[in-house]
Amino acid sequence: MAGVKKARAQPAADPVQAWFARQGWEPAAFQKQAGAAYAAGRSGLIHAPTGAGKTLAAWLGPVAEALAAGEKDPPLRVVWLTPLRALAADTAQALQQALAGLGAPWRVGSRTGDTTAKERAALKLRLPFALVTTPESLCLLLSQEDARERFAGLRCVVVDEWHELLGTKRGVQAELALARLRTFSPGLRTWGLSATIGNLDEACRVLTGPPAENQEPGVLIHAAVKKVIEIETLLPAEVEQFPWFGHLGATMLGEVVKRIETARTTLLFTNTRSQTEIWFQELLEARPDWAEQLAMHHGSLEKDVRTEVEERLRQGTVKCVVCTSSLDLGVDFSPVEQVLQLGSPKGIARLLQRAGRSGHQPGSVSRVLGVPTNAFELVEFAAARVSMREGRIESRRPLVLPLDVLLQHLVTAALGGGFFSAAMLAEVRSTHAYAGLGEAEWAWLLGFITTGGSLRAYPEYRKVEVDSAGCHRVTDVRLARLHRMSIGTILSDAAVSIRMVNGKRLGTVEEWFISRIKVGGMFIFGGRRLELVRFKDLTATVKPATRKNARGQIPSWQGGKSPLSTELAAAVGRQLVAAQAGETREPELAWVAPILEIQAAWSVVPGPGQLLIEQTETKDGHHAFVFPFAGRLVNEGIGLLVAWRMARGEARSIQVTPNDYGFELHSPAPLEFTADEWRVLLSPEGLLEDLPGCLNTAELGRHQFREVARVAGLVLQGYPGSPKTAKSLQASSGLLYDVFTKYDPDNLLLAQARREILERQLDVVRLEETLRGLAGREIILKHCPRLTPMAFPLWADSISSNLSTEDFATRLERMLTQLNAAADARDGR
Amino acid sequence: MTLPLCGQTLTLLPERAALWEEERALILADVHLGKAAAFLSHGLAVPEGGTAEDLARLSSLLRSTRAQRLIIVGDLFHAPAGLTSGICEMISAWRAEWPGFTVALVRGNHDTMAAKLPAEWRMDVHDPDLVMGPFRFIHDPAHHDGGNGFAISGHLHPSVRLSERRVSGSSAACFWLGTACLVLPAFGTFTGNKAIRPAPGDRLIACTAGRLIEVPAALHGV
Repeated sequence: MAGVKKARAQPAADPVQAWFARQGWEPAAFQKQAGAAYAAGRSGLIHAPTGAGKTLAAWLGPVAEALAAGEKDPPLRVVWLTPLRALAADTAQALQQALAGLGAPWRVGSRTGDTTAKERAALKLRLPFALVTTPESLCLLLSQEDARERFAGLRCVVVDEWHELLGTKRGVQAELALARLRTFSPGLRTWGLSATIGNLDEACRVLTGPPAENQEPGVLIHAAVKKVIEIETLLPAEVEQFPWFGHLGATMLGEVVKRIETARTTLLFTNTRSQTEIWFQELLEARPDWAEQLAMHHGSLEKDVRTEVEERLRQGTVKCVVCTSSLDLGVDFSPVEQVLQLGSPKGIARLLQRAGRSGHQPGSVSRVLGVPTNAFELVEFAAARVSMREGRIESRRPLVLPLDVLLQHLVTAALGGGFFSAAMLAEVRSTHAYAGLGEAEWAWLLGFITTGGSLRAYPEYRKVEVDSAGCHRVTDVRLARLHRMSIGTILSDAAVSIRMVNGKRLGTVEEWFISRIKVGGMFIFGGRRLELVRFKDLTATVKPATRKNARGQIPSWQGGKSPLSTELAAAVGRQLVAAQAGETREPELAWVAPILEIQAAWSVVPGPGQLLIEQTETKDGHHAFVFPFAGRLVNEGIGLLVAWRMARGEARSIQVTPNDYGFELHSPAPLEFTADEWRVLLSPEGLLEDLPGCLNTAELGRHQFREVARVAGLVLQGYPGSPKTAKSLQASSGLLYDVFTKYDPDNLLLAQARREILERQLDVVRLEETLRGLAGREIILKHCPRLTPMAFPLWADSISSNLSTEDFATRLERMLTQLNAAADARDGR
Repeated sequence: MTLPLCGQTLTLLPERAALWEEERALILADVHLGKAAAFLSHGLAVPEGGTAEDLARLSSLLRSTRAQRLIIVGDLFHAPAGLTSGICEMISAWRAEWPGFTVALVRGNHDTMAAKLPAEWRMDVHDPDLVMGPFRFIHDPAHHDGGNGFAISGHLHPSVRLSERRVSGSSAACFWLGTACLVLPAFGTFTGNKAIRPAPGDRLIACTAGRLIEVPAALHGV
């Protein structure tokens, strides 16, 4: 009896339990576990499905601690990192509500790129108890002279949606910032929140860093909540409606409209922002009466537009929101009744995340309805479902040694009170990303920021200066300002602000898009038809288009075309095999059967242990289609490698087009090889020696250098209203790449650009695994008189920018020859 | 490649310059000396090397063409911040190498310091243009109103882009010959190029792999 009495008495003493009791909630086991681990001084990663209450699980620990200490006016105790600035305001609000419920009088603030100058000034005076921010904005705070003092009282950093940051340069930026904060506040605890990925243990280690003395390693806490997710596919009335390929096909429009009618609120996810704009237009045309109930949401729209849409979602006053990954994460939109995925699911984890936007409440079923736009996507949805059932979810591999991010961070640290070499090296090496950083690289990095290069010193260059005590600092105010402006450029390229004539801001587009539009020209943005009035200093002034029926261009954003994950591509291959053998019960496959029959009749559907190569001749030349089913990145790598090996030793021009299933080689000359010769071309032997060769010819290096140069601070970002002086300091990254290659060939940033191509662009680890796998497969070589269903999408994929082994001169000569031949033929010679 | 133009003879050179045969004048544009130095002084660690190379290329071109004068159609320099003492010394040394030479500099938008150049460089600065014979040397072709002769210009850093139906373009610097104007390619090493949109009837001559190749109209902007 005493025990019961005691149990009853306890809640009154514990404000957290009392609050739960008042709300009629029972803390979940994982929430209690996280709270206890936090109280014991540990860091950790909480893995729970959306809606399970993981925000509270991470929040209650530090709050309970501060309550127990009876803090009246605490300094900054908690930094809450969120990957998307759009989530910051809502998160801050949710955290503040919890504080209010607990009777804590402290404030939760937020600071992101959206924060107004006034709010920023207030934060400069005094930081609140908790601050919700993005990695970029945190770095800005770290670049302030008094950073050390401001963060000295910090107890905990919570990284929300850690799986989103892991494996990206922003994730590395977060790792470095965490290491800095651990130095400023020893004993700091790091907590992360993550959705399901394949490598949660590693994610936890990367986040929490090496345990300090007397500290236990980070703990991985799983919520025992079982989330039921169902993946369905919108099947067409007739299979003939399905094109073999294509991306934007509005074939399914009618069916989609019907589905939207049936639900109170729908999220229609697309894969690119341009697809979002297109589908928004299509839906409006199909149902003009929905004008007030349709909305769109993507990251390029202005903040207040996004906020309004989110608010309407919460209130349930919007019927359908067409959106991109900007609505993948975070905030609870409880009224969302159904989720539609338009086009390829791209990855298993991604589809599950999107499915989780519906049935957000604990215990309810999350459903996603796939809307395929071509036959292959039908198979992709089936493959995603099977993979989910089998528990095959993609991993997010953390990045290692991206020197551009470290260069940026070192200048940030030099601004934020300065650093000493030895201590900083130890701090940097405490991160997962730079654990393997060598002395020589470190010396090069310091040389780069202090004298402009490790080998030579440029007197006019002085970004970071070393004082007599050995402290690295930035003293030039002008350089400090330029650097602060460049923080955040990891996220994106220079953006052009779009404004109405009256000054209202609509959002941003990339510079290259707007520069292709002439004054008076039309384009579509944020669902409106706009006419370009003028374009100056990174601001595009627009007005509503007046001409009726004028069709505008729709901006396509770079990076919009994401590849299928290797896991999903392989799963698609397995589904095709299973369909051939009659071993699959996934309903989608029945619809693809007629197409597979054509494929089997004209060529074969490759079985397990087989690699299909089709050779075809068309009017425009000779083609070889190879189908490794390895995802676009890996297929592209194999394609480049094979093209390079074919062209080796002779001036031969071969173009490579990859997609998620295979790649095409296209050449004016015959591409006749025997199965044995193909085996040699596809051999994993000599891969690392051959790859740099293909890179040089394919100009990938110049392309990849763009990001490296930007992050390392070599490219000044233009910004609206930037002073004229900045103009003479602009150089394209391709030009910089040439200058570095010529005058500083050992520059480590060049090496990094090449390495990034190997790792990210071509995914060299997967590439080698795939080639080894292919070596064990039987090569089925087919000479096809026509393009088969599997080959056709590759052939038609003219949108993708292809890679050629030719240089300008060779190509021009070939084109001239073709032109002359055509002229001769026309003249009957 | 030799071009009869307004009764005169212009030889286009793959080194991205032109020789006016009658006057023995070497004509070039957009050298952007000291560009890397200007970047460096703003905390952008771009390796220096282009200026020395460009001056050396210029010398060897003067030697091989046996030109007797030099006309620079603007943007010889990049920015005031780029004229560091090191760069100025290089330019002085180069000028001393060619004592008997006249150098005419038509002021370009980047030559903001053109009025204050060291006397020892002996450059005749012309602003906004230099009219000689049938030609009007003027930096920005957009400032040419059609009067005072046939314009020879720079400023645009023109390049021609080759793209076929299925392949994204690669590009090369080029001469752009229109009905009232010849635009020279940028001579400097550290200068970007910009793809141009030629009008019907314009001729484009690409500088590639040490050679000049005329790109026929059928391949313009495809």
